[in-house]
Amino acid sequence: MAAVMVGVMLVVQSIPLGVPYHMNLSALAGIVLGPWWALLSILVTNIAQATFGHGGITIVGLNTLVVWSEALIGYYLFAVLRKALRSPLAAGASTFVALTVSAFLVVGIVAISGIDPTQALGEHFREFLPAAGPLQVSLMVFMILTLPIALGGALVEALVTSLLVAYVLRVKPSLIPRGD
Amino acid sequence: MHRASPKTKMFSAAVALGAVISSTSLSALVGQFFLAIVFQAVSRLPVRRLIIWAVYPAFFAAIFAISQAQYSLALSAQTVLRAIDAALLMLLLINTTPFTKIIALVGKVSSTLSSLAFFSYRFLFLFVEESERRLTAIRVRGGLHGSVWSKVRNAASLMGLLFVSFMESGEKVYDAIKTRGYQGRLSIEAATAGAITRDDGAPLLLAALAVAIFLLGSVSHLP
Repeated sequence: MAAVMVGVMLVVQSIPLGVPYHMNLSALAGIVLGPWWALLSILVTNIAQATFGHGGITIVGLNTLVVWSEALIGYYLFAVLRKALRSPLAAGASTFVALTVSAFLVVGIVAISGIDPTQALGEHFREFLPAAGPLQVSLMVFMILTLPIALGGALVEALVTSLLVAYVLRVKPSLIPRGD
Repeated sequence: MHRASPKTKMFSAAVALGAVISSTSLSALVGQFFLAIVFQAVSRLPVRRLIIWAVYPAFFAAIFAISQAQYSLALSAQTVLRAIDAALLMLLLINTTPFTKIIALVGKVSSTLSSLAFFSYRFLFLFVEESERRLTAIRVRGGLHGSVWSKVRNAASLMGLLFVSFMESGEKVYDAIKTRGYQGRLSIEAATAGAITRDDGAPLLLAALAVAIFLLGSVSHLP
């Protein structure tokens, strides 16, 4: 199932949604596979994508951890929400929360990395840099650029995951864990 | 590049990638870009298509680059070029090396991971074919036209259909290999360790040139 999930995660990225966003189904992977097999699936998916030029090979580890956080949150939150909501709604809600948290996680990673551009640039450009103190990547600009896209995408993915789970429950309910 | 051993190519790709990551000179990154292009052209790969693919990670790197632009345009350019150079190197590796050989090398680290990767590789092409067929079917029936809501709903149903279909295929494959004695581990033949041959010259040259460009960029006064 983990191998199948890798194929699913790779293939669904090419399905047009009518909006400029592609699914990654990481939360669904967590729900279906559980946290540990989801981790392996996500790692293999990211490595495959990196070799295809989609995503950086040098950041596969960090990317895997961030996407795994989505699977982890999706798994545990779904288990809790399913008791109060119907499964499609629970899947959608847990997907939205998972992706929102991972978006803020990315911002947090950039913030704590504290990369000093003076070290990245080296000797060549020091004379052009302001003398006062080390520079930081502009976190506010980064947040303004990434968060609206990430949160919009989270909404789309939550909706699609909810509809997908509703469909699967009608056709083959055994694929979605019931937690019995 | 195609005839070189997978181990040499992976080692050279790692060295070249290290040179790209470590480069602090814009000229060095531009040089490494053209180096990757030249090796792709010599390997008779579709250079234009690979450049288009390599631009994809640049889109995400651009988000970081825009954040940095207020401090230095050169830093922004470096960020984007680094992403493109790294992608080009990986595309060069994957397009000159059978994927199964790369997975076999991964098997030395973790047999679970390599088994997972092998099965994923096997399934991927079947799934791509199946999804293209289903996508065409839904398109000709007008399933991806109309309002955004109807497109999203139909796309979600398509994904659900594919999900169920793929899971069932996976179960059938699993049952089939179990009857053939599969017990959770695949016996994978890794690339044979041998002496470096003349065919390994190309990737080693790539690595050497990438490092040379990095060193040149570090000591020269070029921006």
